Amino acid sequence: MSQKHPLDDTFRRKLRQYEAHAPDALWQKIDAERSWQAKLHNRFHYYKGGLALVATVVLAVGLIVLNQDKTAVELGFFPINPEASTTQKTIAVVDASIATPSAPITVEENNIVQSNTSIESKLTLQPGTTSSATSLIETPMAAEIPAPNTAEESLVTVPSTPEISLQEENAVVLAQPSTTSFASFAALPASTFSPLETGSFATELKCVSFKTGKRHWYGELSTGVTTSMRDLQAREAEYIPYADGRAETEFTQLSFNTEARLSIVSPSGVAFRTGLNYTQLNERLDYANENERHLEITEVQGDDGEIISIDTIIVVGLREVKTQNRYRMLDVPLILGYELTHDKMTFAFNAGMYLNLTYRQRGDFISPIDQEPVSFSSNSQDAYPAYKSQIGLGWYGSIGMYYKMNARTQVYLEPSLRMYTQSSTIEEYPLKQNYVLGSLNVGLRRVIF
Amino acid sequence: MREDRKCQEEVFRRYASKMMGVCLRYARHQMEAEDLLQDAFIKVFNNISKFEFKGSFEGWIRRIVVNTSLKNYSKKSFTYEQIGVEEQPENSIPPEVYAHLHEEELLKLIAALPDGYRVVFNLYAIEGYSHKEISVMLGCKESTSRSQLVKARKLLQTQILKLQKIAV
Repeated sequence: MSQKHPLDDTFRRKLRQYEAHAPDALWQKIDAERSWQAKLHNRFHYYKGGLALVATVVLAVGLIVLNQDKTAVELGFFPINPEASTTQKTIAVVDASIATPSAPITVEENNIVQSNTSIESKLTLQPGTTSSATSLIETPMAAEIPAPNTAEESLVTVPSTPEISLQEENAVVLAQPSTTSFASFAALPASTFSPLETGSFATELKCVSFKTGKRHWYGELSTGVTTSMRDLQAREAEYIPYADGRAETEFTQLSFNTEARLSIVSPSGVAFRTGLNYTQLNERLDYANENERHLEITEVQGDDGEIISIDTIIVVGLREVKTQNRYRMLDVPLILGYELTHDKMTFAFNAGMYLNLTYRQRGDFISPIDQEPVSFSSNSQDAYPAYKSQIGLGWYGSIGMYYKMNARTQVYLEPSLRMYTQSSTIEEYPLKQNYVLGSLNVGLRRVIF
Repeated sequence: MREDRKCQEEVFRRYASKMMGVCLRYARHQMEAEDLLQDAFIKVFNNISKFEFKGSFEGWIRRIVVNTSLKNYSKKSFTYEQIGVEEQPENSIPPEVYAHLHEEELLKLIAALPDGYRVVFNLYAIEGYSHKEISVMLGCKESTSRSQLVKARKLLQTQILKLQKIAV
């Protein structure tokens, strides 16, 4: 142990409990630093409210947009010629066929509802007004239908009695009060709906498209490597050599980011994503000064090993400073996307912005004053003031490739590009420093509900 | 206490002198020591809720101060030309010579050591850590810690001799 060595023992005994006066100003510095941290904390809380508001507004807008996709299925999806399927035409036919001034037919309700390919139409006829010989409900064969007739015209004529005349599978019911109901078209013979035979339908049929209208909420967690492309520009011409000096002594390294976000994807594929992104940019300061002066003491020994003199010499040597610089960013992504799904693969095209919450730095760079290494750490009082605490908005674009592992889980790969248009340095600092970040993230996403 | 400014000031007043002594041993000069002390006390106040009342409060603060100093050391590395101290035989100075040295002189001697020597000497000789513990703390080999200690001792002895000769 160290105590066995007299030198160690002496140093330990005299310095272990050694006390030295700490300057009074130091407490003020610590207090100020703590207050600054508290301010930052408060500022974050302040911005948190604003950000929450912005996020809520964006979310609300996103939801409104997404909700537009959740409307009921329209009749247009059904393979009926739109011109031949209007309510007015049905009423007109009924009027033309059965209505008399003394015995009007009242259309109480007339709905055409597409649900499992069925149409229902209810008519209420006043008693005693259906004595006309021609007023029969029939469902004539397709061949009997004149070309310009509508689907309803081909099916509805006024019955003379409340009895119902059914043809084959048609389930047409007329009761007191007279109500006519048309059963499923699907139950009719295929020939009945043949556009070639009847001319009743549009020549270009639309496929039945029943969408579920279900929105998907996903939780996404990803991490990946980031490469930073840094642009240093002198604000004034006299600082161009300084910008070159920094470019020569600082080197970008592989960085990383990790992101947690919530994605809301509409049935049509429109997506809105938000969450939190943490990015750490790594750089290295590699400074070397070949003319560093250092004081050294050497002994001059005689032939027998005895010390005959001591020389104090100044060694001019190489001084190297290697510092790992780190820039840490916390951002809120606000992204709109569009997703296309094919089999187990989903492709997403995203664009949006990253709202920077905090931008913290730690490390050294060469000072613009004497070109010597100096700290720029955001938590150091003596650091050279160069960087902002927030760098505003960054524009974002990415392509996501998702692979469905099971009903609820997908893995994904997402190359992205993010560009901060604002300089990360303050106005007083002689250089502008902008970043473009390229990332390749791998992640997992799960259906939340 | 985390947000109680008066309590924090009281803690600072009570331990600042002792911890300044620690910082001076790890730093190259007064200014650096003050920076270390400042950083260390900010960490103390930020993490004071983590103190579990196991062991003394002073010991806990001291560990933070030492760790802050080590972190500062690991951030920068200085490479100087090798100085010819290996050939000098160890223990060439009688132990009684050390006894006459004052604390301030010893601090100056330590401060003049290269970073690596100074840190290892502090941790081993004064704090009492073993080479194994030092190797873990600094992320180096045990053999490196040993050799740094030997070199530190040699350099200190050289400087002590110089002081003695000047005094004579």
